[in-house]
Amino acid sequence: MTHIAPLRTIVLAGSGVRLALCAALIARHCLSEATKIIVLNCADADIVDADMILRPDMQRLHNDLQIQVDALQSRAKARAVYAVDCAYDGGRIALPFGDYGMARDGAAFHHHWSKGKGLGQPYDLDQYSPSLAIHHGKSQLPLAIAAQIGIGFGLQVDRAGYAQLLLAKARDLGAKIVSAAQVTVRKGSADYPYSITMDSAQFEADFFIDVSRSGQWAGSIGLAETGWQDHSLYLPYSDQPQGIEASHLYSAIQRFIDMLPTRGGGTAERREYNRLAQEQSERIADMVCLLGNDDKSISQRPALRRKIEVFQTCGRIPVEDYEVFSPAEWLTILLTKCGNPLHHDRLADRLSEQDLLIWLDQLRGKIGQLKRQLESI
Amino acid sequence: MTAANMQDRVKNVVIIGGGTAGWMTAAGLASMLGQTGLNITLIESEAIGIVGVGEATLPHIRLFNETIGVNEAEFMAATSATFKLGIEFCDWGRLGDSYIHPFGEFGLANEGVAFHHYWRCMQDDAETAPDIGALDEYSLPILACKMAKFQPPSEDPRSVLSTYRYAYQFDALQYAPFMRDHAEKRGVTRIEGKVTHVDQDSGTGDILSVTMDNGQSISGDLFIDCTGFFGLLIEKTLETGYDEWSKWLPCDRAVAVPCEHEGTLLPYTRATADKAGWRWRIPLQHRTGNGHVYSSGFTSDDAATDSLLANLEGKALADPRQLRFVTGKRRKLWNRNCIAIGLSGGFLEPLESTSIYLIQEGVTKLLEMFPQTSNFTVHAEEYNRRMDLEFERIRDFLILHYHATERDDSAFWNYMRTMDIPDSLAEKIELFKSSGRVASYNHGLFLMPSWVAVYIGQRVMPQRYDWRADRLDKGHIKKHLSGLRNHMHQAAMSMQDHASYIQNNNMARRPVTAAS
Repeated sequence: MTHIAPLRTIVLAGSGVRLALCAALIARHCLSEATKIIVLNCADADIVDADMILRPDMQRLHNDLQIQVDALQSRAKARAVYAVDCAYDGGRIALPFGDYGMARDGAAFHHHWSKGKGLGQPYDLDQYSPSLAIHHGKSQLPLAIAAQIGIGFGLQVDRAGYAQLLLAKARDLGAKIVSAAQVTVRKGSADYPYSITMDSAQFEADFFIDVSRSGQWAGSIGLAETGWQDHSLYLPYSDQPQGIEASHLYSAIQRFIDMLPTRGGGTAERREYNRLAQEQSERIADMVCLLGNDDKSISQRPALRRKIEVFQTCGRIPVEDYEVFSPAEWLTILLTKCGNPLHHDRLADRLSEQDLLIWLDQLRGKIGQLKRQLESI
Repeated sequence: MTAANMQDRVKNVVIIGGGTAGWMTAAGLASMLGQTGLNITLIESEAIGIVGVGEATLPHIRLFNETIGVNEAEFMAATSATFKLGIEFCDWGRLGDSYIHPFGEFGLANEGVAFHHYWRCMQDDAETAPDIGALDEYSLPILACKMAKFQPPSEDPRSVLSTYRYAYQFDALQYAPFMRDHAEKRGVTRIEGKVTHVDQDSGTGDILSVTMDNGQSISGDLFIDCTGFFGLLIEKTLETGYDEWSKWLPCDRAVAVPCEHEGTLLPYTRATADKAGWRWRIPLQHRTGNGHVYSSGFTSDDAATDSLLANLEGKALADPRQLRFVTGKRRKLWNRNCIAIGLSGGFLEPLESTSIYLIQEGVTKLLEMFPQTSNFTVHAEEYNRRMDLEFERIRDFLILHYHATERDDSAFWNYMRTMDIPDSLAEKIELFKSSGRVASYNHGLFLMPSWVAVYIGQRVMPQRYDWRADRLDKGHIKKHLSGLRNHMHQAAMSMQDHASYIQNNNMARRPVTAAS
């Protein structure tokens, strides 16, 4: 018979949205009669009094935690966003959350657009993006309308309000939330790997998660970099491009939950977590590097170099095992950096030139119509 | 495209070899790119036999067929095909063991925890274990296999009848003519004859043309080598090199023989482990395909043939046919202006029916990376990277079947059980053993249910399960599993009889002949 020894106490320490998100998700999936979740809500060093962007994938978190649109609107002042603005090469570009146009005849839309350009159609690719049409539009869509029009969107939320909403959810789910002015973490006994002192109190933990941006406690227990080591986890932090912070954290926690160890176990799970986390961080670093437009750094990133070379040659965007950004986001920045590819996809030639121009015209017309309709709301 | 580019445009593709790989490639290119000004010529010789690779397929073939416009009923009738819902593995973990690798899910995940963790949790408890049954009982395609049932999956994701996919088992010798017919109707030019000379550019080494035995010269921009193990262009001409994987997959020969079909028409392929390899059985409408894949280092040709013939379920319909191969792949599947598709590119033995899948992937990835002009260094590198990944991930899955065994009844199995395996596989096995989790990759053919089927089927039992399964009350899980099992059983019972489905849907055998 298998002996399953669940973790008895999981302790999280940090502040702000990072702590709240981690606490809510861990409480949702790990809390049980046998497992306590203790959340040490520390000083507000990590809280930035500003809005934050949540990418479309965060909708899964809200569904999982059963956070309703009303709550997001009233407590986190959420509004729909369809793209994020990023600094690039002295200027700014908008990375859309949704696709450009639609694929046809086995070729992605931008190949058809690229071919159309060659035939003299004058419009930029962003004219074919419903996401960018709304993003650049004048009005803000109410969330209820955004949910109805079938175009993927993210959220802009008030950081403090969102953190409070998530922390309240963690509390409702049964996590113990404790405000702490000073927390120290030390290696513990054979029975409990960590001993934690919080203000005047002291307690033991089977697993410790450092949710701070800077790894405030990780160093004291031998964690030099983000990742999972022994019985502790130091969660990653990324802030560029806009919106990636919450997604990166969310997927890291979700991955940890998927690999949740038992007491005394976890070597293979740890390796798998760290492998996947590393892959994801590399993809984010690829995007940051491309946005930074640093050719020397690009040359040292093989997956990114491959994306650029293949795109420049034939307009395709190679997909790695673990992508973080959508093809539309990569396309936007690659097109900005590299210009039009040398050739479009041969599959786009299946559509006659005449039909192509008619189709492009119709698509642009529909997007313009959508934009006008939404602006009239 | 500029005028200069138009001049340099890839206009002529020449395919050498007309078996399964050759005609699938021709049909794929003609269907998707024929109308873009691409001329496709296929050279084959009736004097050279075809291997007729792969009679059993994987569900992905349906997408390929749909993409190139193949009508399913016509295809089934022309190739004497049957439906396939999985592969049965007999005697792999231990002599007497049997399990089915299904084309579908096991049970339903709950709260982010995969079904097999709940099953393991209940099976692990002495009180609940007797009522839980085998994991197989929670897989609709496995139940359908055992009942010889078939019907296409439901498109309603809420239905249990949507939890599987299907593939085909067909006569490979009829498949090539069917694909030929499809390709020729879409403009492919077939030339009969043997290639006697390959002319290369003295500077670049690119292939310029091939010369036929009648002196005719055929030039092209791209050449596709579908000449099987011979590798006329990719190896004999371009000397590309081959990465051997025989230390992990030592089977290097096969002997095949068809036999009369007897009994119920089963919707699955069977792979039975033998003393020095394994035997396949593939039920078709008009006959059963049989073969024995074995390692010449551990048994003789005669003994392998004897074992095959002794285990036929009906009267043999032909003399046994021998085949030799080396498991592995070309160092570059796309080298200069030549792309190797099919056996010329590599061979991973047919244990999981991956041969036709790899042809299909070769064609699909070529279509995705098809160059507009003859400057295609970047295209080739990306194509090779992606195909290498396909080969390597399939390789690991195949090795698992051999390595995860308790068999010690022959030198072959002792070798397989104790050999060193690739680190990539060792880590996957360790993760599953530790906690029942399956390493995840976005690229690669085999997903979680496939890995779980083989692990559990071959007695790689996880030491632990995801302890989130314990968050649910065991009485609740037991009730849920019981309901699910009954529901699946009823659903399988309600499916149509496999043979009747073929008959009733105008799919009964009508092979394409030379005259038609």
